Amino acid sequence: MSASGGLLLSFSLPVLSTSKPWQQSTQTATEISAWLSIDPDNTIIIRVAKAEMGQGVMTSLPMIIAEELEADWQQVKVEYADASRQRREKGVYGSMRTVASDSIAAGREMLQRAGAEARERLIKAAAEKWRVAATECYADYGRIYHQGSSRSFSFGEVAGLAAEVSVANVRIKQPDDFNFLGLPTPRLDVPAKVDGSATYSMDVRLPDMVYATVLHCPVIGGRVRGMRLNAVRNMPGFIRALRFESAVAVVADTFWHAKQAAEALPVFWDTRHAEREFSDTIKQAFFAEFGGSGEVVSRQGDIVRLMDRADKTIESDYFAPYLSHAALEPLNATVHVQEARVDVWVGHQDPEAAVAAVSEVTGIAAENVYLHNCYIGGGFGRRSNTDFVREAALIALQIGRPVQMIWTREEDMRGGAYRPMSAMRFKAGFDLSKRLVALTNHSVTHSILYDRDGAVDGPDPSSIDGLHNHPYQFPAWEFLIPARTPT
Amino acid sequence: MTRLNINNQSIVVDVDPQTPLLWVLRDNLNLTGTKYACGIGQCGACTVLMNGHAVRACTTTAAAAEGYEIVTIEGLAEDGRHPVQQAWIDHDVPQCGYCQSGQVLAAVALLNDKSNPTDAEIDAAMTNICRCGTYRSIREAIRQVAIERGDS
Repeated sequence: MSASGGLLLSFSLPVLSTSKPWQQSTQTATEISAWLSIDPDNTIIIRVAKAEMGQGVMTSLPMIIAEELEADWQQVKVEYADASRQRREKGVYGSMRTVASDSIAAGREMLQRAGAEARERLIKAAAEKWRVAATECYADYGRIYHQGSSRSFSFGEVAGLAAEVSVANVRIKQPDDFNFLGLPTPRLDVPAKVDGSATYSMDVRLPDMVYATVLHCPVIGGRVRGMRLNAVRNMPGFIRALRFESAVAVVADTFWHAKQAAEALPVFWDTRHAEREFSDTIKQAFFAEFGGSGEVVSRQGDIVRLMDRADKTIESDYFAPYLSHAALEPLNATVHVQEARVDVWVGHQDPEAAVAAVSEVTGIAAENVYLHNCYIGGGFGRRSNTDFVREAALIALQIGRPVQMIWTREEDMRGGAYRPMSAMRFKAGFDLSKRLVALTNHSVTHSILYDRDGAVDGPDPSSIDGLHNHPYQFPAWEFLIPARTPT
Repeated sequence: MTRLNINNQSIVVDVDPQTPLLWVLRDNLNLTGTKYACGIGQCGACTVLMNGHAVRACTTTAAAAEGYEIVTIEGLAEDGRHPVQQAWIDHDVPQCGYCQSGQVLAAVALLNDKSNPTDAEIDAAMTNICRCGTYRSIREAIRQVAIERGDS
């Protein structure tokens, strides 16, 4: 592939970092569970079921398993868990969605149990081989030891038997017992990210692959009325232009050729039924809500009296506009639709949703949709939406060959799913000792859940998170949202 | 036909000479370490070295790159452990990593030019954008290389 004369990578670190994180390496290894396999040479392959986007889960989550496993961290190699296996084995990896900064908080105990269970099975296997009680054995640094004798096995030596034994009721460590968790540990993806080998979805190269870029109607809710293909038909590398309801995809042999053709293609938009509001008018409508009585989401204490009697009050308005997530890597996905199978290479925060979305638009059963999760050049929540993956799949469905769809930077910034506009009016009352005694808040924003799922029962929890469930101690508060949420 | 000297190899590519070097690297030569992020020379993710200077490949045509010694992130060091890369590893610099090919090469160019840059010189040279905000770590890594060079 490379014209650079073959780059020789030799790492002085024993811990391997991986340039293609989706590649599964279970050829020679013995699988202990869905979470880990052990090679005869004692390499421990731990699977990561969350998406690495710079927050470090590719390292931190395996560390949790390794802590319980009593592994030698130097022998650990990581790879991504397979979303197809998650589906086949009914959620064996818990949630594979990486959002809300909760990977460690929500996953720690599950991962500890996975590591602890594997450890106990290795111990049990060693004990069986030695014909001693498992309680006389312990694990340390990748080996099983028998107390009172000098016998030990490496994990690799008992992995085969461990794969066949089971254990029950395994207890996990308390944080005070951690030996390894909490020690500064270099992140495993760093070497690949400084030598250029880390594979982001835009870096995937497949035989017979073509490139696509997309022009979306610049007004939300507008549609394609027409386009003048003759303007681009003979441009270098041009393959096809595909018309969708509110967007046009241009396909060519290289991305540069696709981008050139997209810029040269006249597209006519029908905006008669498109969005009529502007950010300014929506902002005005938001602030106008503060004059209304609103709907109470939480109230405590005699808020009227305490605010009235406060020694000092402070009132302030806060506002955040629509914000593009603006990840440095523009949205993109590579899809190959075959007769009864789809392969998708994408850096995605929600592989299961992406698989379901591709299945939906291609008509191919989810069991036959294979998602190869890549490194992510910035997620920030934007890469948990499936819109851009659906687009790539729709294009690939028509082209037949593998298609790498890349949104230009311009399309990415304009490409919706913004962080919602938000306006808040706070009023706080303090007593003579400057202690907070009363707090009111009127909050106006869009519902993310409504936007994504189309229906919300009651206030969207994500819109009032931190208000109705705040952890602070003060006597009285009242939190309001508009009586009718603007859409 | 355009002849380019990339990572010490002379390569002939059949492209329109007006094609930006970024896309020649990525799509014609499958050297994907150089990244596309803005396409208008504003972010530095596409930085390569041309005769040791940091250049933004998205706004440099193949024609303009002829005759220069071009180094991409893949060609910086055979073992991926140029002192700047090693400092990046020692300081755990990358987060999502997407900007880091460009950051590393911009730092190499800076240190080629000024072996012990001041903070102001680092600010002036390191204009690459990082959406994850690794700027502080980048500065510490650059300082480490400068210190190590000063010692030897």
